[in-house]
Parts: sequence; structure tokens; C-alpha cells
Amino acid sequence: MPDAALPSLYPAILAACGIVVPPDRLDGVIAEIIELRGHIDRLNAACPDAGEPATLFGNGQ
Amino acid sequence: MTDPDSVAALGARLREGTATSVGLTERALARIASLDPVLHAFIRVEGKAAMAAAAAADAELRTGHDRGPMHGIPYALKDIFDAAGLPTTCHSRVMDGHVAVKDSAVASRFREGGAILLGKLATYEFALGGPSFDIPFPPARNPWNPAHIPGGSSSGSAVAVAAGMVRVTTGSCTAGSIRGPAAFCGTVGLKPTYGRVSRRGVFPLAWSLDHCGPLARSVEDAAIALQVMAGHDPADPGSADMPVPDYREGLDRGVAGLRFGVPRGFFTHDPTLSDDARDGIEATLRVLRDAGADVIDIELPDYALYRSCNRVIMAAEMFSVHRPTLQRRFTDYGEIAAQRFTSGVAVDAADYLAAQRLRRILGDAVDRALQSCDVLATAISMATAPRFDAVGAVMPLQPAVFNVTGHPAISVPTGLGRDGLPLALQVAGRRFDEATVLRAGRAIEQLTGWDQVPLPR
Repeated sequence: MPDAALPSLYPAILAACGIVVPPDRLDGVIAEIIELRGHIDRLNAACPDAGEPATLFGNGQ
Repeated sequence: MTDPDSVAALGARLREGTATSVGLTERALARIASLDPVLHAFIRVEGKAAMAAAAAADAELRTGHDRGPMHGIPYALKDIFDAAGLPTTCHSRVMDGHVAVKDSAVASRFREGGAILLGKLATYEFALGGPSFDIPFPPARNPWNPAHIPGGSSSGSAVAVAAGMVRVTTGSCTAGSIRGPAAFCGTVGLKPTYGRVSRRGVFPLAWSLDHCGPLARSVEDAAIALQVMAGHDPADPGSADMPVPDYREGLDRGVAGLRFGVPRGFFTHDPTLSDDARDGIEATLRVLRDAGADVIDIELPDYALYRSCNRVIMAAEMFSVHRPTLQRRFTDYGEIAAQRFTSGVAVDAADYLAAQRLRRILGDAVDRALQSCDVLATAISMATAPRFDAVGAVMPLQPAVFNVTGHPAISVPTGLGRDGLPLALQVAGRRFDEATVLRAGRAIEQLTGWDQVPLPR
């Protein structure tokens, strides 16, 4: 997903997913997405060569 | 001093005939009736069914049919756990009309163990976000001061225990929903190892992060509850086929010789850490040292990485759970849950896998630390519970590490802050070694004197 200019894209992305967000709730959803993208950027920066992913069944079993 | 109202003490009285389950259930229902109009811990009270179950439990004990340590003891379920014949509301309009056909695995285990279900407890909507005022039931309130939040999402579970309505409740934990409210309300909250307790029949939030566990008045009560809850369930794909030890054995062995690793980097420079919380952590570490524990500083990756990993995995998985309903009924969700669930649209497959790749590294780091330490001790609440009218974007809690890694972790109250609200410390242990976590927790509640602190009201 491209990182630039994302807020303006989200209404279209949401609509493409079939989710209709009422106009009075759109700002809240976009604010939440921007906060989430900050977390995504942090973890992508932290582990460019992190090896294989953990799995649902990988917690010591 | 032995607590005369502990689960163990009440169980002994039931068996010697100096108490009855009917009497305990009546007392619990009276306390709920007295306090819950202000505290809102319960969404639903099943008084009549509870009294009938209590009478049956008494009759069984009289004939020598003993179902174990929770036999005849009242408890309550967070309202995302199914109990056959009762609605599971998830505190949401979206679940209107839903009635559970079967017990969740946890409810089934408590039922088989003879425990008395008092009712269903308040949660944040679908165990996420909150507190909210635009969903069908009012949010639970902190018994130490109802102007303050109890934390969540297992809000009612913590409030019911802290207010003395019940000794044991169930909670679920995806990003701190057991330990957070436990810390804010002054109860014990145990998130067991991932896979230790079956999640069958519990509404999912994020499959790879979801855990079920007990909230309880004391560590011993939590150990007894875990004994009932723990065990392999082939119907839960994340359930672990691991032996379940006797959690009360060794509970009182103390901490002499036990090595505590303290990842100070997590909390020392965090701007949300209050003076009271810092003083409480340091005072608790001092009493552990004085009791013979070996307390050493350790290094772990930055807490922010654990939090981001938790947040991204949770966003993707909960969007997968809720997308079909968001497409049809967006406005039936409360505002907080709707925007949090919908945000998952921004996580693509590579992002999700980046989080899962980092997750392995972060888990390995905790495993390595626990090769040289028996347990880790770290902050859970960075401050006491905020007021309802002062809840900010960042909750002053640090629970995410052990949801990401799956290690068992407990929140134990350690005292009261200057505002009269509880402080706590978090202890985590090796995978499936809840016994040592409980042992350390038991020592903390005794060494800090928390086990002598009376109920708030």
C-alpha cells in the first residue's frame, strides 16, 4: 500500500471494500488509520531482514 | 493471616458444613444488588438460576459428590464467553438477539467443576477500545472511585472482583484486557500462556493474540480458577496439549533465590510513568530483594516495537473478523469500535507478515532473557486509573509485550497511590510456567501487604 497521500485515498479504499462510513464518522476512521500507519512504518523499519514469520501455532507448542 | 473469604477457605467451610453455596450465592447477589446500580459491573444477573445451581451444589456435597475447589463457589463470565441458553452481547447492538446454544469451553469447565454462574459482565464493545457511552449498556466504573475508569476490556470482571461481589471472574486478553483492568482496580489478573486455556466459544478479537484467563481477589484464588480453566481442547486450534500442574503446590515457597529480570528500558523514560507508579515499582523490587530474591536489570527490545507489533497484528485480524458485519451494519457499532475495526483496511499482507516476522524476534528476545532469569518484573500500569473525563489517546498501561510473545503474565496489586487508587506490578514467566509466575505474585501480595488491604466499599 503506498504511504504518500493516503488519507485522501481511504474513502475510496473503504468503498472498494464495501464499507460505507457515514460522513460524520470518516474523520475518526482516517485518524485511526493514520495512527495505525505509524505503527506499520515503525515495524517495517525495524525488521527489513527478520526471517520467517511467527505462526498461530508457534508459541511453544 | 488466612483470608476467611478466600475460595480455599470458603471451600473448606462448604465441606465442613459451616457454610452453604446457597448462603454464599445469596450474599453475592445482595452485594451486586447493593453496588451494581453505581458500578455497572454486570450486564445480566442470573439470580434464580444461580440459586438453583447453588442448591444443587449443596446437595451434591452433602452426598459426597465433590467436583473440586470451585464447587459451590460463585463466579461470573465476561460477556464475550458463551454460556448455554444465555445471550452473549459482547456489549454491542450488533449481537442483538444472539443466544448461545452451547457453553464456551471455560463455562463448561466451571459448570463441570460445580461453580455457580452469577451472570455476565460488562466489557468494552467486542473487547476493544472504550470506555464508550454509545453502546447498549453503561460502562463499568472503578469501585475505588466511580469517577475513574476501571480499564478494559474486561471491565466488569475487574470491578465485580474489586467490589467484593465475587471472588473469581473470567477475562480475555488481546492487548492487556486482563492485566490492565486488574491493575486499575486492585485485583489479580492472570494472562496464561497462549494455548493454555481454550478460547472455544469466546468471541474472537484477534486469533493469534487472544488469551483467556482469570481475574481474582488473590493470587491463590487465581491459581484455583486457572486450575479449572486450563487444559487441552482439540476444538481450539491454538490450544496446547501440555500437562497442567497443581497451581497451588509451591505457591507459598516465597522468592528467596528466585531471579527477577527487570527490563527498565520499557518504562523508566516513558512519559506516562507517574511518580506514584515509579515509587510503587521500586518499593516492590526492594521488598523482593529484602526477601532474598535476586533482582537484576536486563535489556529487551524497545517497548514501542512490541506495541506496534501487537497493534498491527490485532488490526489485521480483527478487521478479518468484523469486515462482513462492518459492510452491512457499520452504524450499529459504537464509534470507538467501528473506527478501530475499520482501520484494519490499511494493513496489507506484507505489513501483517512484517509484524509476524518481527514477532518471532521479539519472542526470542524474551525467551533468551528467561534463560538467565526465572521471571521478569515490569510495569503494567504507568499511573493510576484516569478519570472518565480525562481519558486520553494513550492509556497509561504497558501490557502488549506478552500478548505478542505468548508468555504467561500476571498483574498483582502492590498498594495505593496518593489518589487512593491501586498500583500494580507485572510478572511474566517462561512459557507454560504459570506456577512460578503465581508463586512470585503470591509473594508480592504478601510482602507489599496488599493481602491486608480491605475492599474499597
